[in-house]
Amino acid sequence: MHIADGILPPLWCGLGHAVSLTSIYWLGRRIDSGEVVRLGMLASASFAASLIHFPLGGTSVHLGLYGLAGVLAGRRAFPVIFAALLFQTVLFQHGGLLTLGVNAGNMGAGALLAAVLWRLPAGPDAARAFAAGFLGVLAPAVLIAIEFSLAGYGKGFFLLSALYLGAAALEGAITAAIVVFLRSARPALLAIPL
Amino acid sequence: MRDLFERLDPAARLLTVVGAAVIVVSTPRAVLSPFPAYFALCLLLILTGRASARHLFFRTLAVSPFLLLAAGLLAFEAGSLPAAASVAAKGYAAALLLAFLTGTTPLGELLAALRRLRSPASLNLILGMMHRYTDLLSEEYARLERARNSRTVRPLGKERFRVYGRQLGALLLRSWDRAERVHAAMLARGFTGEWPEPERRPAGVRDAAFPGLTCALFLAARLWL
Repeated sequence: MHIADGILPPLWCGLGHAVSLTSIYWLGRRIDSGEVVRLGMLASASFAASLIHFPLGGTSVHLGLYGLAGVLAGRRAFPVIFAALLFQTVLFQHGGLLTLGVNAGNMGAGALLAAVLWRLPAGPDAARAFAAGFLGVLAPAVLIAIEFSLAGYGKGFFLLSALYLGAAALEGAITAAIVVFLRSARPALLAIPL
Repeated sequence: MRDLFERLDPAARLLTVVGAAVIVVSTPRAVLSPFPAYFALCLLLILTGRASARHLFFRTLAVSPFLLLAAGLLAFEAGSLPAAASVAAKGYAAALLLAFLTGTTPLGELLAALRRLRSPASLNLILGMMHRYTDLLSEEYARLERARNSRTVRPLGKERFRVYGRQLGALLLRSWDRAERVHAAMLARGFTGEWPEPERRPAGVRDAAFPGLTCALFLAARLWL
C-alpha cells in the first residue's frame, strides 16, 4: 500500500507533502511535550507491531494499525502515521521519499476516519473498534485506487483493492481485541478526545 | 573521493538526493531518452560514497512489487509500453537514489537533517522517540511472544486473534507507562520541548555546491537528451 516514487506526477507528490505538513502543524496545535512523548512511544509501539507477520490463509500479512492509531490518538494520529511511514521508507524502502506525503495522506485519512468512527456514541466497543481497524486499511486502499485512476493507470487498482478486504478484516479483528483488552486493563487510554 | 558524499552535511545529502529524484520523476511519461544518462549520473554519484553494492541492489529491488504493478496497469489498461517502461525506469532510478542516501547516512543523521531543514517540532520529537525506542519495544514484544510460546501447548486456533490482540494491548500499556517515566526523566533533565542539537560545523561552500552541481547535471540530461 506504499506508493513508490516514479508512479505519481511530481506535482501531486509536492501537493501531498504540502497537505501532510500543513496537517501536522494544524492537527498538532497546542500539544504539550508530555503528549508528544506519549505519541512518540505509541508510534514506536505501532511500528514495532507492524513488523510482526500474522498467518492468514496460508500466507502471512503484517498489521498497519492505522485504525488503532486513530482510536488511541484521535486527530493527533496524523503525525504518528507520518513518522511511522518515514521510518518504513528509510529503513525498508516501502514507498518513496517524494510520495511520502501522498502515502501519509492516504493512511492518515484512514486513521482520522477511524478516530471519528470510534468516537461515535452508538454501538458496542468491539463493533466500533472492528469498523475503525477495517476502514483504517480499506479507506487508504480505495484512495490509492482513486489516485491511480486519476493519474491515468485505469481502474485496475479498484479490483486489486478488493484483495485488501482480507487484510482489513484481520486488522479489524485485532484492533477489536486490543480495544476490548484496553477497556478492561486501562479504560483511560480509550477516552482521549478527538 | 570515496567518502566525499559522507563528508557533506546530512541536510546537503538529503537535498542532493531529493533534487535529483524530483528531476528524474518529472521527466514526461513515455520519454525514455534521458534515462541512460540518469543512470550514468546515479552511478557517478554512487562512486562519491561508501554505500555497499548489496545494500543498493536489494533496496532498489524492494520497490518492485508496487512499481511493476503500476507499470503493468499502464501497459495493459492504457496500452502504452513506452509509458510503462518510463514509469519503471523512473521508479528504479528514484529508488537507487534513496538507497544511496540510506546506505551513506545513518538514520540519526537523517533525522538531524530534517531538524536542520526545519521540519515541525512535534514531528521531530516523535521521530526522535521512535529512533530511541522502536528496537527496545520490538525486543519487548519478542519477549512476550517467547513467553506465550513457551506456555502454550496447543495451537491457538480461532482464539489467536484475541491472544494477539491482548499481547499487543499489553505492549501498548507498557509503552504508555514507559512514556510517562521517560517524560518525567526528560523534564528532570531540563527538557524544554526540543531535542538539544550537538555542536555541528556550519554548512560550507561544498554543502551548497554538491547538491547544486548534481541537480544541474540531472537537469541538463532532462532538458537536452
